[in-house]
Amino acid sequence: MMHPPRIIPVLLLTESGVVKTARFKDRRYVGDPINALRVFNDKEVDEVVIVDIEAWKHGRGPDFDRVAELAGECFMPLGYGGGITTLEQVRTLFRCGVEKVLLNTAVHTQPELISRAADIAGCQSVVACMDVKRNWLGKPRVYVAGGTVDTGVDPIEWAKRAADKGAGEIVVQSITADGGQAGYDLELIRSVAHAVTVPVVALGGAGKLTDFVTAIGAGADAAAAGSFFVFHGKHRAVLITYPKLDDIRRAFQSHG
Amino acid sequence: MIAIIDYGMGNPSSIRNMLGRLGHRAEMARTPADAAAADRIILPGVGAFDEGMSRLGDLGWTDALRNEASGAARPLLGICLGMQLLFRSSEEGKLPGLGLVAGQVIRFQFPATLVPPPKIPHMGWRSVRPLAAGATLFAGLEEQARFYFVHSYHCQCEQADDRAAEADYGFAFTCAVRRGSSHGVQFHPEKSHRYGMKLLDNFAKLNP
Repeated sequence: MMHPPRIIPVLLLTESGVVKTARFKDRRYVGDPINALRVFNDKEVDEVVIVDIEAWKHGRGPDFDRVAELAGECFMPLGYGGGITTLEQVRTLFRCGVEKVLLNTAVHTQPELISRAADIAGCQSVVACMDVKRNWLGKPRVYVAGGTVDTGVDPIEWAKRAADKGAGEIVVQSITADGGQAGYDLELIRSVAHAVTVPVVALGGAGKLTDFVTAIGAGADAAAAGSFFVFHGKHRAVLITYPKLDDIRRAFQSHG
Repeated sequence: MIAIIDYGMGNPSSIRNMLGRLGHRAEMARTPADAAAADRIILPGVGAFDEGMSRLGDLGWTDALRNEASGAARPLLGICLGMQLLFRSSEEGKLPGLGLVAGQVIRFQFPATLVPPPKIPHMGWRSVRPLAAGATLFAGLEEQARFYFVHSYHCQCEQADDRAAEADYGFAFTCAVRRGSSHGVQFHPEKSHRYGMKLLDNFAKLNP
């Protein structure tokens, strides 16, 4: 039987541990990253992404020792994002055991980093991650620097540029939908997925299993989420979890 | 003891951790001398073909692995790029490969009749069909086994009976190979949960 599309938990890392945001704000402490990764090992998660949301802010770049420690715990593929600005950092991250690097601000400020990273690691390991907010006209625009700077660039344009430079995968994240658990921005996902030939990953807004199915239906190759995997129930108690493969299969069979 | 070749192409620590969880001792080996006491060798690797070959050459591994293959070789397992390096050449690079397996590494290309064409790189989990040459490495993995793939190039054997397993991506491609004591898998067992664990356990228990 065909394996269903990849379903990817995204952990936001800070110096004090894993947090979860809403609309890139309102941080809530979720727990220890090693513990979360061990749960994901047990649940046989398809792939996991860790984004150090303080690496950029503090201008310190990735914390390599920590990344290596986390990567060594992963019996599943790991993508890392946060504070990557140089090719040397990319090299070091792969040596740390990361399968993929996620570039965000650098895609805007130094697009050549994509090609140079793809040259040393292969384009399949270089992911361009775009954060998108809709303006007052409802037009989607790509933001960088942790969602604080509006580049004015349209997501389709941005995605094509990133793919041309050699990005092997594009994560489309909706800032507006972040943490809301009210579903993905399907129009955004559809427009980007149809504009590029590289795999597109939907992120931002998943609240239930069928949201993944609709994201794939809209053209995404994989679906990622944060809150879905760390909060449980209507009181949003912290619980690191991941659906069973059979449940994912069933969701895709009955709704896909 | 299992030596994991540490030539700067990816971090093999999850391979070592997975072997450790299985109770097999594994150590990183930067040069062939570091692996003198090992009874088997893993060649991991993430990255580009030429960079991999030039680093293997600089560290003395290219000659060591070729010499070993012509004599009483220890079991060798190439993983991902490590599998591709076992072949004679790759469309991705200009340098010759190790040449332990006859064949070449080519970029995915799909017939125009495939609409929409599968995306490159091939990335994700996929089930695998073991073939006769993979009987030992894939023992216990005949049913429902799935592995994680990330690659844009795939291996093409000149001799059909070197093919140890195949997977489908637009067409059936060779995802594992075996020639004598040289084994290779295109996917990442160290990132494939219990299926990868089983495969690494099988490799660790292969009779030299």
